[in-house]
Amino acid sequence: MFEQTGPHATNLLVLKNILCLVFGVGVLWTIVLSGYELASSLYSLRAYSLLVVLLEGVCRYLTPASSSEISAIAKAKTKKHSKIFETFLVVLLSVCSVIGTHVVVVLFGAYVIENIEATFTLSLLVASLAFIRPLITLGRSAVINLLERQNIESEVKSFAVLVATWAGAFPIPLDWDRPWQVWPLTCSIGAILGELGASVYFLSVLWSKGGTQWKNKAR
Amino acid sequence: MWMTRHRNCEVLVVIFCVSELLTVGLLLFSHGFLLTRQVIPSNSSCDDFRDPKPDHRGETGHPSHTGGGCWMMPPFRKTIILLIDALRYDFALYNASLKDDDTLPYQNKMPVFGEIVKQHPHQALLSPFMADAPTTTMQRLKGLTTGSLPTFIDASLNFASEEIEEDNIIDQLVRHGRRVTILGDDTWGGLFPGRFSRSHLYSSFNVMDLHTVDRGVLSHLGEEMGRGDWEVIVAHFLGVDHCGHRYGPNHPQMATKLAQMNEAVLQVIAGMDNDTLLLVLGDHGMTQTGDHGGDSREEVEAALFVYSPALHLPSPPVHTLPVAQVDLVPTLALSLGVPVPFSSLGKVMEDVLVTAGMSAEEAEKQRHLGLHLNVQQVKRYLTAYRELGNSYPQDLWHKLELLEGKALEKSSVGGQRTAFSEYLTLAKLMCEEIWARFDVQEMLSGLCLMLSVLLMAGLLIHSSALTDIKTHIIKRLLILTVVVNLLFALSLSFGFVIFGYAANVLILLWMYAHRQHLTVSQLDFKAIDCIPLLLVSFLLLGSFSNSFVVVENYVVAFILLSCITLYLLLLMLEIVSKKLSSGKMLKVFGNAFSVTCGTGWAAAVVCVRCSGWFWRCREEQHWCLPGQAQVPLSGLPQHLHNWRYFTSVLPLALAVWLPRRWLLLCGNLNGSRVGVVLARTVPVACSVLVAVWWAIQAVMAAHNLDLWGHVIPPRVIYAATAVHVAVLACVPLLIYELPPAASRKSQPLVSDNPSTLIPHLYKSLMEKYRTQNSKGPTIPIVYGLATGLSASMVAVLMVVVVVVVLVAGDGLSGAVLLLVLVAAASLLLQALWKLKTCHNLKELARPGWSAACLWFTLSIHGFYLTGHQPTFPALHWSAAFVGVEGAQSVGNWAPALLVGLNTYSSYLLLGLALPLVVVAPLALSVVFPSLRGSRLEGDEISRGEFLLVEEPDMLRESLMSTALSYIFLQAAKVFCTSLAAFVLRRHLMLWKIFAPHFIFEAVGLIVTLLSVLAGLGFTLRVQAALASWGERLVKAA
Repeated sequence: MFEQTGPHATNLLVLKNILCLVFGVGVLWTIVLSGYELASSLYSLRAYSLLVVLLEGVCRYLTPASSSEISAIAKAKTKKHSKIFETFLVVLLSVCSVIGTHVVVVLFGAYVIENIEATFTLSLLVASLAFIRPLITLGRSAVINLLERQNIESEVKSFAVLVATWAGAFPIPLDWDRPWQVWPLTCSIGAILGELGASVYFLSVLWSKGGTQWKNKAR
Repeated sequence: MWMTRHRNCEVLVVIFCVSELLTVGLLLFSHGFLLTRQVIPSNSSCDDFRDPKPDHRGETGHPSHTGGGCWMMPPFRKTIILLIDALRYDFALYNASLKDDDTLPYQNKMPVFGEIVKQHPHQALLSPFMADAPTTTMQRLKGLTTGSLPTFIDASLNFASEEIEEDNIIDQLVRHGRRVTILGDDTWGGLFPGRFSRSHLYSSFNVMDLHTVDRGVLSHLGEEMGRGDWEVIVAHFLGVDHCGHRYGPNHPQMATKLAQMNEAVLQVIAGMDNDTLLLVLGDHGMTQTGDHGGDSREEVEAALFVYSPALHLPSPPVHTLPVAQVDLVPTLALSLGVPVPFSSLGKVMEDVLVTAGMSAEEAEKQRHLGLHLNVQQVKRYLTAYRELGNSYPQDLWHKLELLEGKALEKSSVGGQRTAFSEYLTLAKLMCEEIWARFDVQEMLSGLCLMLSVLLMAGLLIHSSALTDIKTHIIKRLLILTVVVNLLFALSLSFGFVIFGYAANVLILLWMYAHRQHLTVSQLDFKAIDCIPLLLVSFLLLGSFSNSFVVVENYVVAFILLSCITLYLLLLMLEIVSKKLSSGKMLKVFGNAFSVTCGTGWAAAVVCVRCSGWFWRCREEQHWCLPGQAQVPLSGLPQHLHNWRYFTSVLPLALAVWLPRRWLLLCGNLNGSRVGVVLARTVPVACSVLVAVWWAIQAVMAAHNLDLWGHVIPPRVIYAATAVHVAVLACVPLLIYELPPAASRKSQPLVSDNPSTLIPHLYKSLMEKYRTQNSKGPTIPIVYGLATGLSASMVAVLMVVVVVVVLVAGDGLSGAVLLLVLVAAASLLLQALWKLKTCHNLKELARPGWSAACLWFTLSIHGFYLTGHQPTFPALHWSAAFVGVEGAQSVGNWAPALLVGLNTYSSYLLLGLALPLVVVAPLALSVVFPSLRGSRLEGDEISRGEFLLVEEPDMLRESLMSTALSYIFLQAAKVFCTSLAAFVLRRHLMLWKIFAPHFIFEAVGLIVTLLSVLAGLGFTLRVQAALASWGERLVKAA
């Protein structure tokens, strides 16, 4: 997909990934500084989720439409209110994805009623990193697109976040009695680490790809 | 025909040999791991320490051979021991600050101890009485009478009471002319046959019976005390323990029981002479659920009450010090003037040796003498134990010798006394440590053996050896097994570890000799195989961490959910990549296949999540609240009885109805073959009987009845199950051939009935098929042929499920249903995956590692789901009484078998059902043609499982590879737990966490091996029968 996008889009992508990195490191730093105190950590996690979604929205707004998307938009323009309908659908699907994530987290063993705030914060975080962002970028058929591996960035990020969240459950049973072993901090930290890893991977890919472009430009 | 049988046998032989070799390795390891203490047959005698050292303080004290005393002057002539089973310390402790309304049912119900201690502070004493784990009654009685420490392995012999051969207090008393009267628990009769001068013993077997033993004891106690012909009376009350087992400590029954005990103690005190010592003690405590066996504080902390009008104790300390249970033996022996038993490790309670008549100096001397004799006796035992070739830890033994020297140097009596006390405490500590000792070489050779067999199994699965089995290889495998077994027997009988290693080398050599058959040609691991294997390896690694073992139920559920979700994800990827039409969600996921995937996943995931209701809490899981499912119906409050009864019967009905519905759908329950008739009636009848039996139990418990013949329903169920399984093994076909003439007439009728639509469809296909092959005039119409292979297995499993529910008890019938549902959903997902991805029949019939991983994780999940934990207190002892009335009528094997069936029900069910994993895709594709993938040609696959009957080699190969993979995973788990137990053998939590985990896993492996063999044998038998039926049909045509 990188080949088709122009230098402007690439710069935007680099900027977005750097911002993702900064936000991720920032929220981790906040949590560590608070001494893994649960209430404030949950607050910063929620703020982070919101920030990430906003960033994605802004990027979507600023990205020039690629050729395939232009055709899609052109198609969409034939219908009235389609843009509003599309936005509404994306919001609805986002809410559904948060609820769905919550249900899956509970099915995987989280308490149903106890710690519901913590569980919901985790679902919000995971859903916004793994589902809401692709929904914003790819529109309503994001799930299919992800499974079809059409957008590599979104796919790698979603996948990394989900796997890292899943892996974050493993330290919970250990009897180390560390403050960060509290539910849902391990899984949340896992999710953020997954996100950071994916961002770094992306930046490196963009660097190796874009390096030639920038060199060309300099000449 | 003969050829088929022969080849089928070969399959079984391969699996049997691998299983047998694994078992040998396991036994070798456990023989080194679970060492027992060496029993020294010597006895103490009266002359052993007749003269305390003359140089010590100049005086020898009392002339010890007079006054009937052996080693020293006995302060008491007679003793009454009231042993109240499971009398926890807080049952006996009186807390004056509690109001009557606030007390729990077990609090403040025995005020007698508090009152007496308050009235006579110098004559009475109440203190915690610390038991050594395992806290089972049998082990405690052994410990209380020999004064020695129990070893871990003794716990398994609880059901098989046997005579104590070691020197013990009862024998010493009898030998020195004391007459002992016993009342109560008949375990004493088994431990000490012929020792008691008078006895009134009652069966302790029925845990549900709270009163028989206690009433018997109480009716004879007063009379016996009045007679003059005794020196010691032991009265063992069982009611409190049984009440705990049946209702738990928090139940009004416990309050009445304790009040009754209080009354009994009061009566005994009122009838006591002045020179009698009264000891009231508990042999162990109980947990909040009324169980015991482990080493939690609640189980270990029993109560001890000492009282005699002649006693003169020093002023009571502010804080009562706990007394160890081994201390009872030396105290009792010295206070009655008999020798302390040879292997006693206890420390005498020196204050109890002092009577009111003594002066302060005499009292001091008495205490000193008691301790000195005690030290000499313990030292003699330790020396004798060392001379038998056992060694002690250097530093501890050295320290002991130093202490002894120091004690004799000390000039002051007080200083010597403290040194003696220290010596005795240290000696006990040292013994506790050495009796957790291992034979490292034997353990290592067992581990190596297991590892090489695992390697062999892994090579067999992936090499070409399975596709065409050479008879000579199998013969050599059999010879190898026999030789390894011989070596194992030799190594056990002669104690040479070298034989264990020799067996290991032999296996490796065998593998090297057959390397051209065992070479792995190509390993084609796909994502669906790799990721579950990775997940399972997490599970295996968890065996090395105590925190992961403690929460294994959570971890296993998590891994199982991950496996199931992985199937869904990969299936979704497949679906999307097939469609290649981006955009519409509904278009891609709207078809029957996707909906089935989603439903299967959701059902499995919800069922796994709901299993939390049935989990049992480990002691270490402090956050866990015990659920209601563990309590039997009779233990619930009255208003919940009906609710519980119906919520137990409903899952039972579903667990029978759903498979029955499936068999009806496949058309396997038509006609009047013997098997069909049985499969139609037996499961339903058995489940009705189970419901009836639960009702009878509830009524009996509510009204305290003892109905004649209440054990008949379970026994009828056992008999019916045996008959059902035996008949199905002999005539396994569940198919129905319509007579050719009748078939034409009934054709329209058949298609009218929707439940026989599929067989009807199949019949027309079959018709086509037959007309191609044999152009005979008669076209056979057969119902249920497409699922002929699995139907018999399902029919057998139905009955086994009913028996499992019966043994599991009413609370857990829902758990068994959940297990069945998750297994069915897993089969569905596995079948869908196969149907979606496979290109040909060979791939379709070979489930691969992913299915084995799923099935393996499910089997462990099932263990926890059915309310078990790998700890001994968590065993469901109540299962031993399902259909068994008393210990006399049957041996110990029937209760042991029932408890085993209860504990390992999931290993048994899943092991038996393993062949279903192979045939599930074929069966599903016939019954639900819409799920069939486009890659497989329709006409071929519509013949369903009969394809495998016609291709027996393929069936054998896939059965063998599936069984080997499943066994491989189970054995790998056991190997990891053994390795963990080996590596962490000095770990603090070894006896509490790792050793029980290993024992449960090891027995589980053996159950798995047996059930997999049985399942395979049965399936191959069905295949042979179907094949010969087909041959006959072709001949007839």
